[in-house]
Formats: sequence, structure tokens, C-alpha cells
Amino acid sequence: MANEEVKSKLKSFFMSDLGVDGDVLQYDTALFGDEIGLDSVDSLEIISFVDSTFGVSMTGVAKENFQSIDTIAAYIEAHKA
Amino acid sequence: MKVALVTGASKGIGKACALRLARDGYTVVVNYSSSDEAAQQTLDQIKAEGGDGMLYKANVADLSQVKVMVREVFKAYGRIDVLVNNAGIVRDEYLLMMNPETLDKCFDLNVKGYFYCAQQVAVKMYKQKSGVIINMSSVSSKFALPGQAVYSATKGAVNSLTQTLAKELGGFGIRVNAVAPGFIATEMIEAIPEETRKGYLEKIPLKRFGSADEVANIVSALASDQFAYVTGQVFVLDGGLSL
Repeated sequence: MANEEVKSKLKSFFMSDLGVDGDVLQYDTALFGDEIGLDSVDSLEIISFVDSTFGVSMTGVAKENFQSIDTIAAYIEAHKA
Repeated sequence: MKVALVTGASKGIGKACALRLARDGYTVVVNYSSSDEAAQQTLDQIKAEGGDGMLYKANVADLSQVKVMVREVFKAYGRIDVLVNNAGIVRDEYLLMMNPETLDKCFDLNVKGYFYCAQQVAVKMYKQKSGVIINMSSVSSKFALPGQAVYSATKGAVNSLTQTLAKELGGFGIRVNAVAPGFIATEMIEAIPEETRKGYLEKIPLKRFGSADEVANIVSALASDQFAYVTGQVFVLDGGLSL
């Protein structure tokens, strides 16, 4: 799966499952900052989605990897089987 | 099909829980770390009684092994409905004799192992929006016995993590409870000298040791929808020892 496809799937997930405004959400937008405002409970949603969609475990992964769609996609690319 | 993963299920309380959950209709994953023959006997008994399941050898104190185990179980069955965190060790040592290695071993298996299994299984249960985690605690978490500082500290940690996880995961349909058995008639108790055993019995108001099946009864109930409104609780099963 190309990196662009991973990012696109992640963006769709954030919009449909977490109710994030697609116009605001760019690939480098800070997910847990003031702009988007996701919280730690949402991180469980993200971990579950990444696990079931890409087969990549993000449990226990450093917070920096959850900063943006770009960083999550980079982690997935680096760790997928 | 409902699936239960029982850690440390080759013997004792874990075995009784695995058998009971299989009788309740669960497909049971019998986790164990070293006793191949005993684990096989557990699975054979499950199958002889008309149940189904699989063996999975993994040291739950090792996160990488837990990750692979949970992924493989999910691949095999597509879901995990119940986790019984049971694998644990007892190493009684008085404080002044306590060895750092004992401390590490006990916390690695009795505490970190519970965290690792709960974490990996919760990701799967989260997707299902349902699940039950049952942590095996001990009456030692509430009733002080000299020489059991390490064991009781690990079980106190289990009680605390049970309550916190219940709050963290409750909103996602996942219940977390603990069972705290007292003296249960397992191989561990049988290995204790007769005089010491008599001394223990004198302290128990019901004047007998509990059975592993009695612990499994509570685990079965907590796993069921009969206890659908119960989470974050520690159920003591000790014949009154801690009173």
C-alpha cells in the first residue's frame, strides 16, 4: 500500500469515525493540539483502526508517532509486514 | 462462537477456569509457558468434554510473545471475548532475605504480564465493543502474611490496575474485574508441610481450603452477562480468612 493510500485511509477514518472536519485536517496537522483537539481516549480508536486496517500494532508506541497523519503513516510504513 | 484466553492454564486455578469456560461454551485458548504435557492434558480434557480450543505456549512476561499470541489467536478465531489473566508465581521471602531477582520475576509475571495481555487484548475487544477481562488477584492483596511482601504487593497492583482499567475501558463495553482467592487446594497447598497447613486451616472460618472449581465458578459468572453491570470489583473467595 503506497504511503499516499495509507494517509488517505487515515484521513477518511479521522473524518468518519472521530468526526474531524476534513477541511481543517491536513496530513501534517497536529492531531492532539488545539486545532483538532483529540484526546487520549481517541488514541485507543486510532490504535484499534491501525491494528485492524493495516495489521500494525501501535500499542505502547511513543506519543510522537501520533502527532499527525504523516507520522502515523510513517510508522505504519516502517512496521507493516 | 465466543473465545476465552486463559493464561497459565496448564494447572491449578487456570486449568479449572479453562475447563469451566469451555463447559460454558467458550472456545478456550490454553496459554502456558513451560508445562507442555500438563497443558496438553487441559486441552484434551476440554475436547473430551465436547469443547474446543487450542494450546498457545508463550511467556506472558515478554511483551513480544504476548503480541504474537494475541495476533495468532485473533487470526485463528477472529475475536477474543474473555481474557483471564492468571499466570503468576509465588516466591515467599522475608524482607531482609529478599533477592532483587525475586522482585523482578514476580513483578514481571504477576504485574507486567497482566498489563501486556490486557493491553493487547483490549485493542481487539475495543473493535468488538465488548469483552471481559478477569484478573486473578489474591487474598494476600488484602490480608497480610509475613514473608509475602512481594507477592502481596504484586496482587495489590493487580487490584489497582483492575479498577483503573475498568474506568478506562468501561465506555467501550469492556468490563474488568478481579478474583482474590484465599488458600485454594492446588499443588501449591499440597506441597506445604502438614503442620503449616493445619495452622492455615485454623485461621479460616469455614475450616477448609477452597477448590479451584470454586474460583472458576466466580470467573464463569463474571464472564457472563449475569454480571453485565459489574466492573472494577475485586471478589474475595477465602472462606472468611480476611475477615
